Amino acid sequence: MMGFLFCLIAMALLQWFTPYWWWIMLVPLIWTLMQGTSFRGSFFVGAASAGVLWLVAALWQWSTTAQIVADRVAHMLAVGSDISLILLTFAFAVLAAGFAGATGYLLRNALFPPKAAEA
Amino acid sequence: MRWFKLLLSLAITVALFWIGNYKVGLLPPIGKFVNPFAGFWQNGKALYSLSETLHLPGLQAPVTVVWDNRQVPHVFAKNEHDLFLAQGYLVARDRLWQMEFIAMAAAGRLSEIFGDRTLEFDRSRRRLGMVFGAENTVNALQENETARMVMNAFTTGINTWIAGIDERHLPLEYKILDYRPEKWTDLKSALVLKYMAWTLTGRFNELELTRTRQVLGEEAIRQLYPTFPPFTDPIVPQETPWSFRPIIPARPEKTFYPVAAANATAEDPFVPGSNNWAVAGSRTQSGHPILAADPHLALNLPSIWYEMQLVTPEMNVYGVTIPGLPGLIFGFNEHIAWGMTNAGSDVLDWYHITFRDSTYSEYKYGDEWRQTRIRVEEINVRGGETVRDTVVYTHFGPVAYLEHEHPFQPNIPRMAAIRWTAHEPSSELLTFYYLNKARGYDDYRKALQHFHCPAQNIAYADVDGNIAIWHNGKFPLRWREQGRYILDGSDPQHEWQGWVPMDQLPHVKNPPRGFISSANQAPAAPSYPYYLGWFYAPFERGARINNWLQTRTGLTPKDMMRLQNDNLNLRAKTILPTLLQLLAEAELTPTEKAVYDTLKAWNFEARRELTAPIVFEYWWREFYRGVWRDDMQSKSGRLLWPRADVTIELVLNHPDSPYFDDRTTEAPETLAMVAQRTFKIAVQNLETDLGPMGRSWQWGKARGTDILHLAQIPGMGRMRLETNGNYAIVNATSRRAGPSWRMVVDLTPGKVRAWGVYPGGQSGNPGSPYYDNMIDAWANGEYFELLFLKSPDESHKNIVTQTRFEVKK
Repeated sequence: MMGFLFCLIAMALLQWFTPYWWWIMLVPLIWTLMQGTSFRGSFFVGAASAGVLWLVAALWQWSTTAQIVADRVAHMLAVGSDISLILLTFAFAVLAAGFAGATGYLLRNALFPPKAAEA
Repeated sequence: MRWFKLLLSLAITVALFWIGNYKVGLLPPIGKFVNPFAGFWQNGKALYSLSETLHLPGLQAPVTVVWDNRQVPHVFAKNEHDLFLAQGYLVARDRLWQMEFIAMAAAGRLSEIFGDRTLEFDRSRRRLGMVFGAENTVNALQENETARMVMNAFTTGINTWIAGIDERHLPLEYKILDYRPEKWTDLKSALVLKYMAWTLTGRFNELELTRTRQVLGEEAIRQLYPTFPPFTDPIVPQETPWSFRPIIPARPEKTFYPVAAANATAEDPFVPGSNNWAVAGSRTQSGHPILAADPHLALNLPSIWYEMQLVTPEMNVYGVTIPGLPGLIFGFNEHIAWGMTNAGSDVLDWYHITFRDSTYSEYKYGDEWRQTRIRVEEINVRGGETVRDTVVYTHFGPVAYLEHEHPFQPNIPRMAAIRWTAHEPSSELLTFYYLNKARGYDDYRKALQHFHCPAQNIAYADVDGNIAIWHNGKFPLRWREQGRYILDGSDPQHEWQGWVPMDQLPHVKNPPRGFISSANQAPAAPSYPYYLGWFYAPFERGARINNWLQTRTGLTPKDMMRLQNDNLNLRAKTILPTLLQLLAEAELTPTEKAVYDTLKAWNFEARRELTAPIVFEYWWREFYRGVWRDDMQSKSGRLLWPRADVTIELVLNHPDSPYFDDRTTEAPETLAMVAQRTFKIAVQNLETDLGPMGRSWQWGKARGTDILHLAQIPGMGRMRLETNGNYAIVNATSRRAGPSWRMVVDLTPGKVRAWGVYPGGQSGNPGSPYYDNMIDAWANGEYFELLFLKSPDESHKNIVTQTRFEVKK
């Protein structure tokens, strides 16, 4: 839960103040590199925080101003509807941040094998 | 195992980062693009809500912008510098991507965006000397103090906007195509102008006509390719006397230079046209002139036009501009109104060049060898190496393609230099500046002196009751028919002989008939002493407009709107009754008979709910091909087919012409047989393409209009609009082109009123409702009254908000 909240808040702030999308990969990677405890847990930390952040943000944009553009982009990407586009946004965040989190944990495991880490 | 898992996870992570951050093929970088904080989700309808007060660097005094309910900015400035600065800022706000894209396309720089798929297009722009022409225009503008002021202010305004947008507020197309805007320059404005010059004057058929003459002979040329198109009612009424002493250049002995040129040519490209007219007070209900104009262009989104009102203490002008050009191009002020149609005169010739050897460093000219000049073009290619392209320049202009090269367009001859008025130094932008401020006929005349290319028929009307039209531009002085065929670049007698004096160009002011008009037809009767070209629009639109106006008085602005939306197919009215008479009714199948009856009952209107228009279209196309296909065969390449008007003339006046016989068969064919055969084929084709006769044959459904995105990005256009009209009809709406701006101005002194519409919207943002909000009204032939404000404080129900630009200290 700590990890989820940390990642969510850090990503939200960094994304708000800078235009870079890849914070959703870098933040969970750094977190799990330092604090990751399991493969699944690390994947989840990234996937959940980024997924929630992008899903909520996309839904917010969509419900306030972005319906027309979402319609057009959905047509351009041939994904059917703007709902699919929200799902695509969510799915990309989940995958990108999830794998970044998992990789962070695996790196930690490789660089500092569990015993050393405990010590 | 641990390492394997790590490597796998790492590989997936890197791959996701890669597709997230970089473009793959034509897909946008997916992570960057769907990022709800800076990607496309930000390009909603609230993308650029202007705050009430903004501080702009470079302003000399505050500027007030009033926005109406169609998002038209009405700009009130204290001086011209601030006015053009604000114009640049506002146009960039709404149309930045479009204007930069047009400038880059004109400069042959699309490969920087699209990679090597656009390399040959880019190379062709360099070979045609587009940047060369734009540089000459910039140099000419720099020499004029007024032009310098206008350009500096305008460019500053655009760059102020560009400097203020961050990643998240980039226009959508930059995000899709993944690149960033550059700084705007005067050169880019000149490139936008050259883009229009190419669109409107980059049409030529010297190569095919030269070949056609070699294959068919001179006699056939005289008959099938007349220099004055049949049935034409010229722009300047026939009876108008010419009150000047013309300079007529001598015709050399050798005027035809046969060139062995064997590349094939595709179908004729779309030919843009336009209408404009003005009626004098003698024909209007108000007793004051009314002017109407509707330029026809390829229809795209964002729309080519941007609507504005520009006000200083000395001027108050309303109209439309092409994003990237300062001032307004079509419009009106408190004194005058003007509108343009393409002149269609020939301002581009090809000179065959005889090089001394394969180094292309010298070419023959008279008795000497002249040095060529080399210009090395660098084409930057996204994801590839920079291509260096060497272009050989002669004193005529660049040699577009050498012997072994493949022209980008099949009608461009090889080993030929292009001589084009768009390469000459000129300052067209000053015309707009002076027209915007004009107070009467003399100002209009003065403004026109600066307009060289693309030459235009500029219609005029004013509150003092004057109406006029000038066929205006810089036209080469030529012997008769010079430039119809490829010219001999080694023969000094084939040079352009100077320029036609601008005050001797076809024009008419306050003609007795009480109206002036143009529809791209021949500007003057054959008695006009100068040769300006021959490939003018056929008679239909011009004749229809003139016949319509000729028979009416008491005209109102509503009537002008009706005429702009007139759907009478004069081609069908001229030819169809004769064609129908030729059919042997008894030999028709029941389906064919039903189709025949539909045509017979038709009132010749191209209305969307009718089926006859599509039948005529199919039949006419088949008939035309049936007449000419056999005659226009040549192993040496495609010939120039005779035009529709010539074909009509042949049917009506020479029904026994041998051209109706099919040369490829032994049995003789007659006109009636061609008609019968092609009618049956047309019906068959209609059934194949559209199914059995029914709703799917309705003109609006079967033909329809597609308004594509300028870069043809799917989902960003408006498709399958059910429209009325067709080419060669006053309402010249076709599948991909049509009236791009319809304007009607009532010039009652002190109470100038105007109406307008264009198929698009003010915003260039596909996520804004103002991107395409006027399309339905346009398709229905409806207009908006243009809000012509006198002061920023005026109140009106259509005013939405105000923005103040304050001086930034």
